[in-house]
Amino acid sequence: MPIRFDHVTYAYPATRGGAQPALVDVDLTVADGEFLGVIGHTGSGKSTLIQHINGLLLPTTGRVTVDGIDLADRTARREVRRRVGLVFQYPEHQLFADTVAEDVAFGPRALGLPAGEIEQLVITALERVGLDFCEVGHRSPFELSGGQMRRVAIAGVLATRPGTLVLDEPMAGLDPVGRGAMRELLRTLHHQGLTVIMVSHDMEDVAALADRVLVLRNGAVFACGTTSDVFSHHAELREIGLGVPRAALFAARLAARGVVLHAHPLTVEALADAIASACTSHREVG
Amino acid sequence: MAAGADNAYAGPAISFRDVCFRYHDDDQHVLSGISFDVAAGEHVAIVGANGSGKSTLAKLINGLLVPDSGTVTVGGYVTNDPRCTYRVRAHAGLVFQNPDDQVVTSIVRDDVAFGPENLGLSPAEIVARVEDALRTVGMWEHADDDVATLSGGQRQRVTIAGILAMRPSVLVLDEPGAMLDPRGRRGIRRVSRELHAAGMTVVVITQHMEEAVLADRVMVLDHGRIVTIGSPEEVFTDPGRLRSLGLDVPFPLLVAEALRSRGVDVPLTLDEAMLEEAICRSASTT
Ligand SMILES: Nc1ncnc2c1ncn2[C@@H]1O[C@H](COP(=O)(O)OP(=O)(O)O)[C@@H](O)[C@H]1O
Ligand SMILES: Nc1ncnc2c1ncn2[C@@H]1O[C@H](COP(=O)(O)OP(=O)(O)O)[C@@H](O)[C@H]1O
Ligand SMILES: [Mg+2]
Ligand SMILES: [Mg+2]
Repeated sequence: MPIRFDHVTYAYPATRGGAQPALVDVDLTVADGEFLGVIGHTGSGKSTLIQHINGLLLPTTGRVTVDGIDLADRTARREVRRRVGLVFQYPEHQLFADTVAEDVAFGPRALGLPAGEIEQLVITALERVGLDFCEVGHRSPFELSGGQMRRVAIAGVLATRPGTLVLDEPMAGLDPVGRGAMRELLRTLHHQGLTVIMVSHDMEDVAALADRVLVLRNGAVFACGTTSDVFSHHAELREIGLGVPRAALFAARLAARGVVLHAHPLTVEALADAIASACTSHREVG
Repeated sequence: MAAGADNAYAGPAISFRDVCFRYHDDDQHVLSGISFDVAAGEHVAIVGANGSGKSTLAKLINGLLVPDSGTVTVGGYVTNDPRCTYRVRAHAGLVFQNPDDQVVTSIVRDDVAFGPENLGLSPAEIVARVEDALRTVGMWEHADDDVATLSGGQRQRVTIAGILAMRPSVLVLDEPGAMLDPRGRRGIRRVSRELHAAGMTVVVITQHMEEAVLADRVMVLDHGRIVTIGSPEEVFTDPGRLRSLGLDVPFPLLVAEALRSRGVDVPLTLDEAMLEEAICRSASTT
């Protein structure tokens, strides 16, 4: 069952009554198995929004439900926290245990799961992020590379077997190799059936991964729709200072010169397919 | 300062000769056999995977680290001559990878004044330099703000102003945009381009190839060695090689590669306009 935001407004206690709320009348539904990208400028409310999904923040007005459970209900909230895994920005900064295995076991242990089950959960979670329990389980997380540390942190969230994974800027600070691997990991987790909600400022990452995109502006929903629909509004996005995927811009430049593609490519691969077919069909005609 | 001596010096702004460096005696070399010159007023980008030695090289430029063997000369001063340490630091300003490490006080203008105050300049000179530096990075109207209230991008520009107030002739920026959103990154890029246009020698370490292609020359580091150094056109020619070095492939090159693999004959180029031209030709020749 889905995640629903129903007219959610949120003002941080420090600013209540004063400045503009961090979220303003947000309506949103995320279906099971969907991959939602969340974009918007720094300060547009992305981090505030995702902290509502597992009840870390509660709406000032409005309602958030997960699988029909209202997060305002304190006891129900604990159940939701198990179903929704939240990966903060730079999650590796929160690693603390002496060994990787201990760190990943923290979540399941906090839920009070039997010790016998925990090891298997840890093994599986590490496997899902592409790390081998025997190889890294006994090592200190601080001996690993930055990209590996981030994977350990994600494994720690996956260990409690959530159905939804929410990530705040998972690619931030990674080098190109780390970024490519993280894309691959998120794509795999999504294909395994997880609902994924990803905050990102990289339009290429969003275009490559997301089914739908939510655009926030000053805490309000500026646009929400399929990835290709949202990214077809070049002018509107540019007006609020956001970019569109480079493949879409390039296709627009070609169209302006009379080479109209029979698709709206968002990735380099889709762009090349569309151009190749434009060139071939021309050759067949000519 | 040493302005007279600096002006008279006509050699390269930075010169590395067969430099080797390691952090601990029993470790492997982090950098080995590094030789290159950077001419005064040149804009050089350094790229390479995480751990390839970029930040270490940056610290060798401003004398925070000195080579185990070989020599580093900055503005004619040899960095491992203790009598030159002060001259080297004044000559080459380094903006660290992690900006928060550099903020020392809470009010913007005090933060920028911190460096010049330690140079023993007159109060009037310090005030003038602070204003000049803050104007250069577009932060003058925030001179009396608390640093804590600034965005990440603004904070990083204040950090740069603090370095500029020391009036260096070489500016080294270590991954200046890594923690910022695209708008913050554009702000930093604009500042570094204007400084370069004003005659400053700029060395920028970056993971973003669209930033690297703007430089006069690009240096590629791999496991502590220079694999290539040349114009962007020379360095960014072979997508497969870039990937094997852990680098992103610039967008035009990616598209060209994908088109060629689909039998569309276009040049492997960094120049988007040239690529567009070639595509229009193959899609519309009669
Ligand atoms: N702990 C907090 N207390 C007060 N205001 C906050 C806090 N966290 C964020 N804000 C404010 O809420 C707004 C939205 O912030 P945030 O959700 O962090 O945006 P984003 O993640 O899109 O950068 C901003 O104006 C920000 O300054
Ligand atoms: N202070 C240090 N002590 C010991 N080793 C270090 C230190 N700083 C960096 N290293 C090591 O030196 C190598 C190069 O690091 P660095 O120069 O930071 O690379 P980059 O900036 O390209 O990511 C890495 O293997 C790193 O682990
Ligand atoms: Mg945020
Ligand atoms: Mg570095």
